[in-house]
Amino acid sequence: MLEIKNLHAEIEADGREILRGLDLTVKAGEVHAIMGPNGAGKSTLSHVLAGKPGYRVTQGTATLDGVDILEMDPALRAANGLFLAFQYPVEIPGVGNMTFLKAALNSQRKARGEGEMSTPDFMRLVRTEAGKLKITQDMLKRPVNVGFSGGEKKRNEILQMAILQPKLCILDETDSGLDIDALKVVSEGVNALRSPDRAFVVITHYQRLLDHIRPDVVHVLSKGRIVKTGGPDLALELEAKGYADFADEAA
Amino acid sequence: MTIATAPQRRRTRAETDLEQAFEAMASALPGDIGPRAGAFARFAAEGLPHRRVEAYHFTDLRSLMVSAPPPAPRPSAKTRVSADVFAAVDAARAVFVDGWFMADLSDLSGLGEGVSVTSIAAALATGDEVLAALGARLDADVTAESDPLVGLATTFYGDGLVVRVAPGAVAARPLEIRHLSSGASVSAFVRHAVEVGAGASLQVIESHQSPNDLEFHAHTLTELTLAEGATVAWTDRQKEGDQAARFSSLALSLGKKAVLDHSVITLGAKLARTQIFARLGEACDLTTRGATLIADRAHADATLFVTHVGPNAVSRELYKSAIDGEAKSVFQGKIRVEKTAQGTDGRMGAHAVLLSPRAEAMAKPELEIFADDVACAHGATVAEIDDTLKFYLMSRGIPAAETERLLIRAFLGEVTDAIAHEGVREAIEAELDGWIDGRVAR
Amino acid sequence: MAAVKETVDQVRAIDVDQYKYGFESAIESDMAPKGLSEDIVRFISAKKNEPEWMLEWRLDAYRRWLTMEEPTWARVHYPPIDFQDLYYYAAPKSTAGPKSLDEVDPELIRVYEKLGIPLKEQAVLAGVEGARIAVDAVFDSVSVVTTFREELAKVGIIFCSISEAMREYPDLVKKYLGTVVPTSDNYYATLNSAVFSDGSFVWIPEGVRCPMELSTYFRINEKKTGQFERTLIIAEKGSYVSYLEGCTAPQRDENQLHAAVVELVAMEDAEIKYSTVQNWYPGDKDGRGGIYNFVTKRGDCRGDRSKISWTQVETGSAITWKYPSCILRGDGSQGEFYSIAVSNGHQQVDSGTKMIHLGKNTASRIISKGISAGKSQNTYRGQVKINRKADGARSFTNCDSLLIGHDCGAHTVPYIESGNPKAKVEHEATTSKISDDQLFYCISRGLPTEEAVALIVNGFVREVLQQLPMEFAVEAQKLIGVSLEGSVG
Repeated sequence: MLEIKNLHAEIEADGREILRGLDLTVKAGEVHAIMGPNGAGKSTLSHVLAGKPGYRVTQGTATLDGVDILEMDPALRAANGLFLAFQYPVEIPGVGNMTFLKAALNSQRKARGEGEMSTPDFMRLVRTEAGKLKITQDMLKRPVNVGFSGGEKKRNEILQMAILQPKLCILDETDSGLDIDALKVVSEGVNALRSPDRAFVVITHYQRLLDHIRPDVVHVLSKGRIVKTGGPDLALELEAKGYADFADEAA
Repeated sequence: MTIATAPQRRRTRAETDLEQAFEAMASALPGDIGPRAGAFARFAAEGLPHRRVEAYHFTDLRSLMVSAPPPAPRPSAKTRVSADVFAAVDAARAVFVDGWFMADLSDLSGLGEGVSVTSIAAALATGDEVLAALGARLDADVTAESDPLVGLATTFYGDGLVVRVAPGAVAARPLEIRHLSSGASVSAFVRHAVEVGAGASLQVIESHQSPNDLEFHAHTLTELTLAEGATVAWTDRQKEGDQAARFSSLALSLGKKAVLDHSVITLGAKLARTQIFARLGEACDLTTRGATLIADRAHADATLFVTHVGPNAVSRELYKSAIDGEAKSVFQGKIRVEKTAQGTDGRMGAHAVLLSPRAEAMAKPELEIFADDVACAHGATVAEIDDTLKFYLMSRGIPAAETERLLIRAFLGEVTDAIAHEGVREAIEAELDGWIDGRVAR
Repeated sequence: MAAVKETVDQVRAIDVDQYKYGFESAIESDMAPKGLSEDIVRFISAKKNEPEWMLEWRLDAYRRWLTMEEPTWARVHYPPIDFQDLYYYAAPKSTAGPKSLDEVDPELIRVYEKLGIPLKEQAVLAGVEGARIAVDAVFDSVSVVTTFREELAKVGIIFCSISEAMREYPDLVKKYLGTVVPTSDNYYATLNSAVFSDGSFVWIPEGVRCPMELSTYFRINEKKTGQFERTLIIAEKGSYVSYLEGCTAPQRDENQLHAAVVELVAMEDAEIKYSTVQNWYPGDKDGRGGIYNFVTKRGDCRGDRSKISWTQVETGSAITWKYPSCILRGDGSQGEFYSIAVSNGHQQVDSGTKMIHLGKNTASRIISKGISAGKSQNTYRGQVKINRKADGARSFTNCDSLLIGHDCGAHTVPYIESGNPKAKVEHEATTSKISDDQLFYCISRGLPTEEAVALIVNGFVREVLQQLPMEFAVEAQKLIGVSLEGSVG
């Protein structure tokens, strides 16, 4: 599903190279965890895939179901099924959460040549999914993420995921700032979305998220490249030994 | 009539136009010529204001106001009336064309007991005593009295409305005041006087409209007085043509515990200046908000002088502008707290987003505080639409153009959401959407 | 609230005559005849043995000045200044020029000792804190001594009076003088250009980090004397200097004029930190006397990534008219303005800054804290201007005013002008009195009202005090206390 080959990317402002020849293949139905020390390029990878301005891809390719996504604007990537759950979801004053969800869903459907979802269907969908994630009516009425706690913001991200039904979900440090209860709610939300035709890339610094979202494959990212790939045990190994070894390996 | 002129400076074309107009029509102006001549002499002594005049620092009328079309004669009854943006709102309507009240186009019924509406021209003809009081508040306010645009409106006004709401009366429906153009290149001068009695309430919707490609100058001077405990909601929306100039002065006086909720929406004119002179009495509550959307080479200025005279009053000013093309927005707001105004709570915000590389924004939010027991603050920002927000919306699949539309609307939403009358709010929101869509299409 | 009332009463009772620098010193002076004319300009130039080009420069400024009008836009009111009723040159007789300390009139050294300014190098070296500060002492119109010159010379730094610089380093002076504040800049700067008598000159060579704080101490002593000093600081590529300026004047009934010009030039990657503690005589409790302080200070961030930081603590002067500014010309250059302005008695302060963003990715930061008490008027006036080409510029302003008492005023007049969508300008301002809640909280923890007020005022200005070099910060904090004596002492 996701095929990244020799990806190099740098920060536009100062030309600092962050991704240095990254390769990654994720098949439909799989959950891949990407772990690594701070500054390894984990967040950069998620930003580059989602098309955040401020980065420049200098080499390599990234395709989603065989289609090159790097040339697309962020909206088109989303319509093609890519979803990034942000580490720090932004607050958007003045834009209602429901208005936003509906605009996003219908924009994507339109881009894919599907018809708009009717308002009653949409309302029903939101109510069901919000209920599962313990998102209150009040949160739905408020502007996007405004005044939400850290946990509420993350739940709101998963709600968007549930409603937009993407093919590939990238979770960027979704566990950061979550207490154990919130972590459970979020993980359950993610697990409910696991299916044979959907893939997940879970970016995390710590192993604890992977107790809740069990990965099929674990990668270690260091200095902008995947330096080791293994099964779920690799995460436990990292938890025990830290990242020191891998920093050396990449050097 | 001859006007004393300062010999050392050559008059600009607009100044000459105005002088000639005054000389030509002074004797024909209705009512007592005294105040008009006085106002014009004050204007002529200084001429059009320029950048060294502090209140016009960013809006140099000497260079921006190239000429002044002649004052408008009363138009013929057969004027084509354009569609009313507030048509869906159930309201009494007073229609003005080129600054003249058109009785046959108006419907002043249904305002209810205690609400009287007369045209100034009619009042002048019958010698209504309200005119004696007209301008009394201006005289009390040095800032307003010495303002050149107030001076011009005082000099040349031919018509306007006198609205009185008796103490305790509640207007049964809103009053819409529509200002239209006959299509002639003229200067329209209107003067309204609105007095809302103790405990009374009134809602006014003002709209201004003129065609594109027409040099039309619209001057309005409104004096609005709220007696103790009066409540007024006032929405002013202007969409003058792309070659028009719009000069609007609002002199406010709020009595004890009076409440005014005011919004001004600026969507048009090549040159626009909205100025508010407010004097606040004890424990009153003033809210004024502005939304400005301008493009091309438009210049829109909102200037506020809010003076807290009585204690414990609250004032809130929030002005937002979205600026496209080579347009320039100006915000000047001064909260002045006099020594008598202990307990003042004043807060002012001015925010601009620049939508194009050539757009400009100027802001001068000012605090002038002479009382110590106050809580006053202002904030101002100028930036483009936040990239982070844009990216977030796009990452959820919303296309770039739609993202911008949503974010501009969200930015202005703080102003429009607060308009209490649903019909008025919806009409204005539709216009904003139209402007933004037009922008995206450009 | 009772506590507030008490405070207000105390403020009302402040004896502003307590100005502790108000002594006068009996030092014989060499003075120019009273009044201003081309002859006086020639007299000053001749006294200083200036080169011909300098005289021409002055005369040009003088002639221009005659055609100019005094600015009136600031919120300060004072009777017209009679420029013919002033002395434009006064020098302590014993010191015709800077000499070694041994030759300086001992009376003069005592004056500076009394002011707490160390002129004896060994005394400073023996100082408890171990901090070393090189001082240029300017007495009325001339620099009397500059300390630590040899040591600075070892690393190539020039630190001397500007009169000396004109003689010894004419090319440097010629290259930079008037390039930041042109002679025609404004009424007072032009006047200064014509009649300036002395001031400091600093040149930091490429790559040198100045090993100690440099400082100038200004003292107006003579009666009816205008002080017109001129300071020029140049930081070459990659260099750094921190410069301090202090000032006092005796207590007199008549007003004295001080119209200084300070020019800073920072080249590529250079940084200049300029700190001022201004404590000119503010006048007595009825508003008699005091210094009229009309000052033009401007820094030019000429090179990429250069930085100029102004910090000022303004407690003195009857009238302060002062806007230390930055022209952010180099890409990535930064300007800062940190200010505390305390006004009491009948003082009038109109001060602030200008940040002119010309280069890309330039940044400015303005933190202004105004405290008004007594019958004073305290105005912040600032301009932030973003040029069309200044992509990525950032500007942040925070401007807070505190009122103590019913008879003072606090005013905020910012001008924000942006012509670039890629720039971000933020401005916020507040005005309030000392919070009753904060006061009550402190008092309920056992603090006397006066100390509670002091504590809160200190908290209010803290962000700016932190910008000052340590020794100065302690002095400044004390000074603020003295200036508000009775309420925060």
